[in-house]
Amino acid sequence: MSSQSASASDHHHSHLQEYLKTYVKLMILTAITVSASSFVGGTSGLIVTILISCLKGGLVLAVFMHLKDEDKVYTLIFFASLLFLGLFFIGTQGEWVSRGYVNPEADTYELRKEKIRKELKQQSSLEQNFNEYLDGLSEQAVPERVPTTAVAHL
Amino acid sequence: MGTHGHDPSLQHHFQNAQQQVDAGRMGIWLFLATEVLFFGGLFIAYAILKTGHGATFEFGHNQLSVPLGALNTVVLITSSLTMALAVLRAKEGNAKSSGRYLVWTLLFAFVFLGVKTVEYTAKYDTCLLPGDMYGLPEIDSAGNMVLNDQGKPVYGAHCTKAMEGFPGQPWVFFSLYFTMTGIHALHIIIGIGLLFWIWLRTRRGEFKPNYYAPVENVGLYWHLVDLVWIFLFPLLYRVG
Repeated sequence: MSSQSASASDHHHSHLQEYLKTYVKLMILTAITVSASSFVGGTSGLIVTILISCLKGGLVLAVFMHLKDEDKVYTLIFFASLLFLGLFFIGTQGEWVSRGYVNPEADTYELRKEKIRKELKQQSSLEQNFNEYLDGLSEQAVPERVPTTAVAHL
Repeated sequence: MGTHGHDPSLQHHFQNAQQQVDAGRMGIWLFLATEVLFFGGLFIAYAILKTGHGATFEFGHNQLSVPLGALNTVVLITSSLTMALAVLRAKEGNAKSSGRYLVWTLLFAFVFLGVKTVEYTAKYDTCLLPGDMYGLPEIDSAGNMVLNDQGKPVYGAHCTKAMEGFPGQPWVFFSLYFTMTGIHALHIIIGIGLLFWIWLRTRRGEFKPNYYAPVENVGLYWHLVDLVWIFLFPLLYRVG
Protein backbone atom coordinates (compact mmCIF):
# COMPACT_ATOMS: atom_id res chain seq x y z
CA MET A 1 0.00 0.00 0.00
CA SER A 2 2.76 2.41 1.00
CA SER A 3 4.80 1.65 -2.11
CA GLN A 4 1.67 2.16 -4.18
CA SER A 5 1.06 5.64 -2.77
CA ALA A 6 4.76 6.49 -3.17
CA SER A 7 4.63 5.62 -6.87
CA ALA A 8 1.39 7.57 -7.19
CA SER A 9 3.07 10.61 -5.65
CA ASP A 10 6.03 10.24 -8.04
CA HIS A 11 3.57 10.04 -10.89
CA HIS A 12 1.89 13.20 -9.64
CA HIS A 13 5.21 14.97 -9.26
CA SER A 14 6.24 14.19 -12.86
CA HIS A 15 2.85 15.43 -14.11
CA LEU A 16 3.26 18.68 -12.21
CA GLN A 17 6.71 19.22 -13.71
CA GLU A 18 5.42 18.40 -17.18
CA TYR A 19 2.55 20.90 -16.84
CA LEU A 20 4.91 23.65 -15.68
CA LYS A 21 7.35 22.92 -18.52
CA THR A 22 4.49 23.04 -21.04
CA TYR A 23 3.29 26.31 -19.55
CA VAL A 24 6.76 27.87 -19.98
CA LYS A 25 6.90 26.60 -23.59
CA LEU A 26 3.47 28.11 -24.32
CA MET A 27 4.57 31.46 -22.86
CA ILE A 28 7.76 31.50 -24.95
CA LEU A 29 5.77 30.68 -28.11
CA THR A 30 3.29 33.47 -27.27
CA ALA A 31 6.20 35.93 -26.93
CA ILE A 32 7.51 34.77 -30.32
CA THR A 33 4.06 35.26 -31.90
CA VAL A 34 3.78 38.78 -30.49
CA SER A 35 7.26 39.82 -31.65
CA ALA A 36 7.22 37.85 -34.94
CA SER A 37 5.27 40.38 -36.99
CA SER A 38 8.00 42.99 -36.52
CA PHE A 39 10.46 40.90 -38.52
CA VAL A 40 8.24 38.80 -40.78
CA GLY A 41 5.23 40.33 -42.45
CA GLY A 42 2.73 39.51 -45.18
CA THR A 43 1.93 35.97 -46.24
CA SER A 44 5.10 34.45 -44.78
CA GLY A 45 4.29 36.13 -41.45
CA LEU A 46 0.78 34.65 -41.61
CA ILE A 47 2.19 31.16 -42.24
CA VAL A 48 4.74 31.52 -39.40
CA THR A 49 2.11 32.61 -36.87
CA ILE A 50 -0.27 29.83 -37.91
CA LEU A 51 2.54 27.26 -37.54
CA ILE A 52 3.39 28.60 -34.06
CA SER A 53 -0.33 28.43 -33.15
CA CYS A 54 -0.47 24.82 -34.35
CA LEU A 55 2.54 24.02 -32.16
CA LYS A 56 0.89 25.67 -29.15
CA GLY A 57 -2.40 23.91 -29.87
CA GLY A 58 -0.54 20.60 -30.13
CA LEU A 59 1.06 21.15 -26.71
CA VAL A 60 -2.31 21.94 -25.10
CA LEU A 61 -3.90 18.87 -26.72
CA ALA A 62 -1.06 16.49 -25.91
CA VAL A 63 -0.27 17.56 -22.33
CA PHE A 64 -3.14 19.53 -20.77
CA MET A 65 -5.81 17.48 -22.53
CA HIS A 66 -3.82 14.22 -22.00
CA LEU A 67 -4.14 13.06 -25.61
CA LYS A 68 -0.63 11.58 -25.58
CA ASP A 69 -1.43 9.31 -22.61
CA GLU A 70 -4.99 8.40 -23.59
CA ASP A 71 -6.39 5.76 -25.87
CA LYS A 72 -5.72 6.86 -29.47
CA VAL A 73 -9.45 6.80 -30.28
CA TYR A 74 -9.82 10.32 -28.76
CA THR A 75 -6.99 11.64 -30.95
CA LEU A 76 -8.74 10.05 -33.92
CA ILE A 77 -12.07 11.74 -33.06
CA PHE A 78 -10.42 15.13 -32.71
CA PHE A 79 -8.33 14.92 -35.87
CA ALA A 80 -11.29 13.58 -37.85
CA SER A 81 -13.01 16.91 -37.20
CA LEU A 82 -9.86 18.71 -38.42
CA LEU A 83 -9.87 16.52 -41.55
CA PHE A 84 -13.40 17.65 -42.43
CA LEU A 85 -12.46 21.24 -41.65
CA GLY A 86 -9.55 20.84 -44.09
CA LEU A 87 -11.91 19.57 -46.82
CA PHE A 88 -14.19 22.56 -46.18
CA PHE A 89 -11.19 24.90 -46.43
CA ILE A 90 -9.85 23.35 -49.64
CA GLY A 91 -13.29 23.52 -51.26
CA THR A 92 -14.04 27.16 -50.42
CA GLN A 93 -10.55 28.62 -50.73
CA GLY A 94 -9.86 26.57 -53.87
CA GLU A 95 -12.97 28.02 -55.49
CA TRP A 96 -11.93 31.58 -54.64
CA VAL A 97 -8.36 31.11 -55.89
CA SER A 98 -9.20 29.19 -59.08
CA ARG A 99 -12.06 31.39 -60.35
CA GLY A 100 -9.89 33.22 -62.89
CA TYR A 101 -8.77 29.94 -64.52
CA VAL A 102 -12.29 28.67 -65.09
CA ASN A 103 -13.89 31.93 -66.21
CA PRO A 104 -11.58 34.85 -66.97
CA GLU A 105 -14.54 37.25 -66.59
CA ALA A 106 -15.35 36.05 -63.07
CA ASP A 107 -14.98 38.29 -60.04
CA THR A 108 -11.58 37.24 -58.69
CA TYR A 109 -9.30 38.62 -56.07
CA GLU A 110 -6.67 39.38 -58.74
CA LEU A 111 -9.22 41.23 -60.88
CA ARG A 112 -10.27 43.30 -57.86
CA LYS A 113 -6.67 44.19 -57.11
CA GLU A 114 -6.12 45.13 -60.77
CA LYS A 115 -9.19 47.38 -60.70
CA ILE A 116 -8.05 49.15 -57.54
CA ARG A 117 -4.55 49.57 -59.01
CA LYS A 118 -6.05 51.13 -62.18
CA GLU A 119 -8.20 53.50 -60.13
CA LEU A 120 -5.23 54.55 -58.00
CA LYS A 121 -3.13 55.11 -61.16
CA GLN A 122 -5.86 57.20 -62.73
CA GLN A 123 -6.21 59.18 -59.55
CA SER A 124 -2.47 59.81 -59.26
CA SER A 125 -2.21 60.82 -62.95
CA LEU A 126 -5.12 63.23 -62.41
CA GLU A 127 -3.30 64.59 -59.40
CA GLN A 128 -0.14 64.95 -61.42
CA ASN A 129 -2.01 66.82 -64.16
CA PHE A 130 -3.54 69.08 -61.56
CA ASN A 131 -0.15 69.77 -59.99
CA GLU A 132 1.33 70.56 -63.42
CA TYR A 133 -1.61 72.85 -64.04
CA LEU A 134 -0.98 74.61 -60.73
CA ASP A 135 2.72 74.92 -61.51
CA GLY A 136 1.85 76.42 -64.90
CA LEU A 137 -0.44 78.93 -63.22
CA SER A 138 2.23 80.06 -60.82
CA GLU A 139 4.78 80.36 -63.63
CA GLN A 140 2.38 82.59 -65.51
CA ALA A 141 1.70 84.50 -62.36
CA VAL A 142 5.39 85.21 -61.76
CA PRO A 143 5.85 88.04 -64.28
CA GLU A 144 2.70 89.73 -63.05
CA ARG A 145 3.77 89.58 -59.45
CA VAL A 146 7.41 90.55 -59.92
CA PRO A 147 7.34 94.24 -60.75
CA THR A 148 9.79 94.00 -63.67
CA THR A 149 7.64 96.33 -65.72
CA ALA A 150 7.73 98.80 -62.90
CA VAL A 151 11.52 98.59 -62.91
CA ALA A 152 11.55 99.19 -66.67
CA HIS A 153 9.38 102.23 -66.22
CA LEU A 154 11.85 103.69 -63.79
CA MET B 1 -10.49 -1.06 -9.65
CA GLY B 2 -13.31 -3.02 -8.04
CA THR B 3 -16.67 -1.30 -7.92
CA HIS B 4 -20.09 -2.36 -6.71
CA GLY B 5 -23.64 -1.43 -7.65
CA HIS B 6 -23.83 0.41 -4.33
CA ASP B 7 -21.34 3.09 -5.32
CA PRO B 8 -23.49 6.26 -5.50
CA SER B 9 -21.25 7.81 -8.18
CA LEU B 10 -21.82 4.85 -10.54
CA GLN B 11 -24.93 5.20 -12.70
CA HIS B 12 -27.07 2.07 -13.00
CA HIS B 13 -26.74 1.76 -16.78
CA PHE B 14 -22.96 1.23 -16.57
CA GLN B 15 -21.35 -2.08 -15.70
CA ASN B 16 -18.43 -0.55 -13.88
CA ALA B 17 -16.67 2.75 -13.11
CA GLN B 18 -14.21 2.39 -16.01
CA GLN B 19 -17.02 1.98 -18.52
CA GLN B 20 -18.72 5.06 -17.11
CA VAL B 21 -15.50 7.12 -17.37
CA ASP B 22 -14.82 5.91 -20.92
CA ALA B 23 -18.37 6.69 -22.07
CA GLY B 24 -18.20 10.19 -20.59
CA ARG B 25 -14.78 10.84 -22.09
CA MET B 26 -15.91 9.64 -25.50
CA GLY B 27 -18.94 11.94 -25.22
CA ILE B 28 -16.91 15.01 -24.33
CA TRP B 29 -14.40 14.40 -27.16
CA LEU B 30 -17.26 14.05 -29.67
CA PHE B 31 -18.64 17.33 -28.34
CA LEU B 32 -15.21 18.96 -28.70
CA ALA B 33 -15.08 17.72 -32.31
CA THR B 34 -18.38 19.53 -33.02
CA GLU B 35 -16.93 22.63 -31.35
CA VAL B 36 -13.93 22.47 -33.68
CA LEU B 37 -16.29 22.33 -36.67
CA PHE B 38 -18.36 25.20 -35.23
CA PHE B 39 -15.42 27.55 -34.72
CA GLY B 40 -13.80 26.12 -37.85
CA GLY B 41 -16.67 27.49 -39.96
CA LEU B 42 -15.84 30.96 -38.65
CA PHE B 43 -12.14 30.46 -39.42
CA ILE B 44 -13.11 29.48 -42.99
CA ALA B 45 -15.16 32.70 -43.22
CA TYR B 46 -12.05 34.54 -42.02
CA ALA B 47 -9.93 32.95 -44.76
CA ILE B 48 -12.43 33.78 -47.51
CA LEU B 49 -13.02 37.37 -46.35
CA LYS B 50 -9.32 38.03 -45.81
CA THR B 51 -8.56 36.85 -49.36
CA GLY B 52 -11.19 39.19 -50.78
CA HIS B 53 -10.64 42.19 -48.47
CA GLY B 54 -6.87 42.29 -47.95
CA ALA B 55 -6.52 46.05 -47.43
CA THR B 56 -9.61 46.20 -45.20
CA PHE B 57 -8.25 43.44 -42.98
CA GLU B 58 -4.88 45.12 -42.72
CA PHE B 59 -6.64 48.25 -41.52
CA GLY B 60 -8.77 46.19 -39.11
CA HIS B 61 -5.79 44.36 -37.59
CA ASN B 62 -4.16 47.70 -36.86
CA GLN B 63 -7.22 48.90 -34.91
CA LEU B 64 -6.98 46.08 -32.34
CA SER B 65 -4.83 46.42 -29.23
CA VAL B 66 -2.02 43.85 -29.39
CA PRO B 67 -0.97 44.37 -25.71
CA LEU B 68 -4.53 43.65 -24.50
CA GLY B 69 -4.85 40.65 -26.83
CA ALA B 70 -1.48 39.31 -25.67
CA LEU B 71 -2.47 39.88 -22.04
CA ASN B 72 -5.63 37.84 -22.58
CA THR B 73 -3.58 35.08 -24.21
CA VAL B 74 -1.34 34.91 -21.14
CA VAL B 75 -4.38 34.97 -18.82
CA LEU B 76 -6.10 32.14 -20.68
CA ILE B 77 -3.01 29.92 -20.94
CA THR B 78 -2.41 30.45 -17.21
CA SER B 79 -6.02 29.47 -16.52
CA SER B 80 -5.43 26.32 -18.58
CA LEU B 81 -2.48 25.48 -16.30
CA THR B 82 -4.52 25.99 -13.11
CA MET B 83 -7.34 23.90 -14.63
CA ALA B 84 -4.93 21.07 -15.45
CA LEU B 85 -3.61 21.24 -11.86
CA ALA B 86 -7.17 21.20 -10.46
CA VAL B 87 -7.81 17.97 -12.39
CA LEU B 88 -4.49 16.53 -11.20
CA ARG B 89 -5.31 17.28 -7.54
CA ALA B 90 -8.83 15.88 -7.92
CA LYS B 91 -7.34 12.68 -9.33
CA GLU B 92 -4.99 12.61 -6.35
CA GLY B 93 -7.93 12.98 -3.96
CA ASN B 94 -6.83 16.39 -2.67
CA ALA B 95 -10.19 18.18 -2.85
CA LYS B 96 -9.02 21.25 -0.97
CA SER B 97 -6.14 21.96 -3.36
CA SER B 98 -8.31 21.08 -6.37
CA GLY B 99 -10.94 23.59 -5.22
CA ARG B 100 -8.31 26.29 -4.81
CA TYR B 101 -7.04 25.75 -8.36
CA LEU B 102 -10.64 25.92 -9.61
CA VAL B 103 -11.04 29.31 -7.89
CA TRP B 104 -7.85 30.52 -9.60
CA THR B 105 -9.22 29.31 -12.95
CA LEU B 106 -12.49 31.17 -12.30
CA LEU B 107 -10.54 34.30 -11.37
CA PHE B 108 -8.56 34.21 -14.63
CA ALA B 109 -11.81 33.68 -16.55
CA PHE B 110 -13.21 36.89 -15.05
CA VAL B 111 -9.98 38.77 -15.78
CA PHE B 112 -10.27 37.62 -19.40
CA LEU B 113 -13.84 38.94 -19.63
CA GLY B 114 -12.76 42.21 -17.96
CA VAL B 115 -10.03 42.82 -20.54
CA LYS B 116 -12.50 41.91 -23.29
CA THR B 117 -14.94 44.50 -21.89
CA VAL B 118 -12.23 47.19 -22.02
CA GLU B 119 -11.53 46.26 -25.66
CA TYR B 120 -15.21 46.24 -26.69
CA THR B 121 -15.78 49.59 -24.96
CA ALA B 122 -12.86 51.11 -26.89
CA LYS B 123 -14.30 49.79 -30.15
CA TYR B 124 -17.74 51.18 -29.30
CA ASP B 125 -16.34 54.60 -28.36
CA THR B 126 -14.57 54.91 -31.72
CA CYS B 127 -17.63 53.47 -33.56
CA LEU B 128 -15.64 50.59 -35.08
CA LEU B 129 -18.70 48.34 -35.08
CA PRO B 130 -20.05 45.46 -37.20
CA GLY B 131 -22.23 45.79 -40.29
CA ASP B 132 -24.72 48.67 -40.45
CA MET B 133 -23.69 49.84 -36.98
CA TYR B 134 -20.25 50.89 -38.26
CA GLY B 135 -19.78 54.62 -37.55
CA LEU B 136 -23.22 54.75 -35.85
CA PRO B 137 -24.77 56.25 -39.02
CA GLU B 138 -27.75 58.61 -38.97
CA ILE B 139 -31.04 56.82 -39.61
CA ASP B 140 -34.16 58.50 -41.04
CA SER B 141 -37.71 57.86 -39.80
CA ALA B 142 -38.15 54.98 -42.29
CA GLY B 143 -35.11 53.24 -40.75
CA ASN B 144 -32.82 53.82 -43.76
CA MET B 145 -29.33 55.25 -43.62
CA VAL B 146 -29.14 58.97 -44.37
CA LEU B 147 -26.78 59.49 -47.35
CA ASN B 148 -24.82 62.65 -48.15
CA ASP B 149 -24.43 64.13 -51.68
CA GLN B 150 -21.58 61.67 -52.37
CA GLY B 151 -23.90 58.75 -51.57
CA LYS B 152 -21.98 57.91 -48.38
CA PRO B 153 -23.65 57.34 -45.00
CA VAL B 154 -23.54 60.20 -42.50
CA TYR B 155 -21.60 58.90 -39.51
CA GLY B 156 -22.20 59.92 -35.91
CA ALA B 157 -20.57 63.22 -34.92
CA HIS B 158 -18.12 61.69 -32.43
CA CYS B 159 -17.16 58.83 -34.79
CA THR B 160 -14.04 60.58 -36.10
CA LYS B 161 -12.17 57.27 -36.33
CA ALA B 162 -14.83 55.69 -38.55
CA MET B 163 -15.04 58.88 -40.67
CA GLU B 164 -11.35 58.81 -41.64
CA GLY B 165 -12.23 56.90 -44.79
CA PHE B 166 -10.69 53.45 -44.65
CA PRO B 167 -10.09 51.09 -47.58
CA GLY B 168 -12.82 48.72 -48.69
CA GLN B 169 -15.57 47.78 -46.27
CA PRO B 170 -14.12 47.92 -42.72
CA TRP B 171 -17.48 46.83 -41.24
CA VAL B 172 -16.82 43.39 -42.77
CA PHE B 173 -13.73 43.00 -40.59
CA PHE B 174 -15.54 44.20 -37.47
CA SER B 175 -18.53 41.92 -38.13
CA LEU B 176 -16.12 38.98 -38.13
CA TYR B 177 -14.16 40.30 -35.14
CA PHE B 178 -17.25 40.71 -32.96
CA THR B 179 -18.77 37.40 -34.09
CA MET B 180 -15.63 35.35 -33.42
CA THR B 181 -14.58 36.99 -30.14
CA GLY B 182 -18.21 37.29 -29.00
CA ILE B 183 -18.92 33.58 -29.46
CA HIS B 184 -15.61 32.80 -27.79
CA ALA B 185 -16.55 35.07 -24.85
CA LEU B 186 -19.91 33.25 -24.65
CA HIS B 187 -17.94 30.01 -24.27
CA ILE B 188 -15.96 31.64 -21.44
CA ILE B 189 -19.22 32.65 -19.71
CA ILE B 190 -20.60 29.10 -20.04
CA GLY B 191 -17.23 27.83 -18.78
CA ILE B 192 -17.52 30.07 -15.70
CA GLY B 193 -20.90 28.46 -14.94
CA LEU B 194 -19.42 24.97 -15.35
CA LEU B 195 -16.36 25.79 -13.23
CA PHE B 196 -18.57 27.19 -10.48
CA TRP B 197 -20.73 24.05 -10.53
CA ILE B 198 -17.64 21.80 -10.35
CA TRP B 199 -16.20 23.96 -7.55
CA LEU B 200 -19.41 23.56 -5.50
CA ARG B 201 -19.33 19.78 -6.00
CA THR B 202 -15.65 19.71 -5.04
CA ARG B 203 -16.46 21.64 -1.86
CA ARG B 204 -19.18 19.11 -1.07
CA GLY B 205 -16.50 16.42 -1.32
CA GLU B 206 -18.20 14.55 -4.17
CA PHE B 207 -14.95 13.74 -6.02
CA LYS B 208 -12.44 11.07 -5.13
CA PRO B 209 -9.59 9.33 -6.95
CA ASN B 210 -11.96 6.75 -8.48
CA TYR B 211 -14.58 9.37 -9.44
CA TYR B 212 -13.47 12.75 -10.77
CA ALA B 213 -14.64 12.54 -14.40
CA PRO B 214 -16.79 15.72 -14.21
CA VAL B 215 -13.73 17.77 -13.19
CA GLU B 216 -11.73 16.23 -16.02
CA ASN B 217 -14.44 16.80 -18.63
CA VAL B 218 -15.05 20.43 -17.66
CA GLY B 219 -11.26 20.77 -17.85
CA LEU B 220 -11.25 19.41 -21.41
CA TYR B 221 -13.92 21.96 -22.38
CA TRP B 222 -11.89 24.75 -20.76
CA HIS B 223 -8.71 23.73 -22.60
CA LEU B 224 -10.59 23.79 -25.90
CA VAL B 225 -11.75 27.37 -25.21
CA ASP B 226 -8.07 28.19 -24.62
CA LEU B 227 -7.12 26.35 -27.82
CA VAL B 228 -9.57 28.43 -29.90
CA TRP B 229 -8.12 31.65 -28.45
CA ILE B 230 -4.58 30.50 -29.33
CA PHE B 231 -5.69 30.67 -32.99
CA LEU B 232 -7.98 33.69 -32.68
CA PHE B 233 -5.35 35.98 -31.19
CA PRO B 234 -2.70 35.94 -33.93
CA LEU B 235 -5.26 35.80 -36.74
CA LEU B 236 -7.31 38.79 -35.55
CA TYR B 237 -4.71 40.95 -33.80
CA ARG B 238 -1.38 40.45 -35.51
CA VAL B 239 -1.18 39.39 -39.06
CA GLY B 240 -1.06 42.12 -41.69
